[in-house]
Formats: sequence, structure tokens, C-alpha cells
Amino acid sequence: MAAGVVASLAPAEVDQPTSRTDVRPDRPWIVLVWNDPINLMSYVVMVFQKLFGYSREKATELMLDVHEKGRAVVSSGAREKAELDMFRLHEHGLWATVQQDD
Amino acid sequence: MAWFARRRVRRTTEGVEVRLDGDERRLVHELLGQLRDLLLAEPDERTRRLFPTAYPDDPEADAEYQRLMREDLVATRLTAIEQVEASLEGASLDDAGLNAMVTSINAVRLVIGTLLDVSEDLDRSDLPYDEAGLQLFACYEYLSVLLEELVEVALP
Repeated sequence: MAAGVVASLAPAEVDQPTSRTDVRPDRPWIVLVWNDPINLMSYVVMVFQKLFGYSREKATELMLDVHEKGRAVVSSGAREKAELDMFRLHEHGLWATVQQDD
Repeated sequence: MAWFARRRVRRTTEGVEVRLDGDERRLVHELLGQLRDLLLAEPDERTRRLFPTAYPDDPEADAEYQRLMREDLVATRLTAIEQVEASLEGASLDDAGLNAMVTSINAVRLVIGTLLDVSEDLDRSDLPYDEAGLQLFACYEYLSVLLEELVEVALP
């Protein structure tokens, strides 16, 4: 996860406070799971529960969001954590992406 | 088709018992072998769902992710396949063994679904009804049944 390494090096060069409002390095990174017609609904619920410790209700709600809205945010946090979560979802065959929250 | 009616997966005091008959074992074994071959081959369309795009808006970051993580994704899956092959003869599975079986069966199903071009509303009249297409579809449906049973037991 080299991208994470780049991110952690970046702040060292920014030693001046900036007035630009769109630069907020503390914005969390979010992990999105996208709808896929192949993965079974029950399987997706199981993966959410297992990887993130969600209750059956919470995991089902997220799965339905993915299914009906096309995607859902399943976890968030520091970039390194988000990228690890994405990787674990990929290990389970789910289509996950990472991006900085708007 | 007796395998639709019979329960294959159940939790016992020893762990999780997966009871497949001879034909099922041979099929799963064969499919896992094919998955291994695909994982070890050059990436192509058939395995695209096993290595999803991580950064759709940033091709450079995505290429970097694929370069660094693809090997890990392959290695995890090869280890899982080995575990499943060793347990197919009916040994009781612990949680790790069950997880290996669930993720391996799911990976095979993802590949077959990709080959069949499964979409949200699977149109059965659209399937390739030649012999190879029918075989693939039968495998896909069988793996769906098996995976549902495995997940039911694996759900926390």
C-alpha cells in the first residue's frame, strides 16, 4: 500500500498553516463497496459482519444500500486503515474502493 | 437432484461438518484446480472480479495498488485452495477452514458468473445453451446452493 506511505510523508513538507479551505488533511478516508450482480446477499452480510464486527442488522442494512443504491460506505478512518479494509474486502471478492471523504 | 434437498453443512461440537458426495467432491476439486490455474496465469477478463479496481479515478494509484497487492491476493487464495483441498474428504472445519472454503467457493463462483456474464436480472433465456454453457450454468447454480449453506453456518 504505497499510496499510504506517500500520504504519511506528505505532511512533513507542509510546515506553514494554509488558508486554503479545501485542504483538510484530516478529512477521513472512506471505503465504498459497489454493487455486483454475482455476490450473494447473504455472503455480503457475512463479510461485513466478519470484517467490521457489525451486527446482523447493521450489516444487512449496508448490504441493502449496496444492492439498492449501487454503493455504500462500509468503513472510514485514516488512509492506512481504509486501504487495509479495502484489501480485506478484495480478499473476499467484494468490489471496494477508497477515497477521501468530500 | 438430491443435492438440492440434502443439507451438506452443519455445525457440530467438533466444528463444521461439510458432507459432499463423491460427485460433488470431484466437481469442487476440479473447479478449485481450475481456479488455481487461473490465479497463476496472466491476468485476464475471467479473473477481473478477483482483483477489483481500487482507485477508479486515479489510474496511477490503481496501477500501484495492483502492482503491490495482486501478489498477496493470489497468495491468500492459493493457501485457501490448499486448505479446502485437504479438508474435502470430510474433516471437521474450524473457523479458518470454513472461511477458506467460503472464500474459495465464492471466488470460483465469481469467475463462472463473469464467464456467464451474469447481470442483475439474470435472464435465463440469454444463457449460452450449448453444452459448455449449460455445464457452466449448472456449476454456478450448484455453487450458489453450496455457498448459501456454508454462509448460513458461518454467519456470526
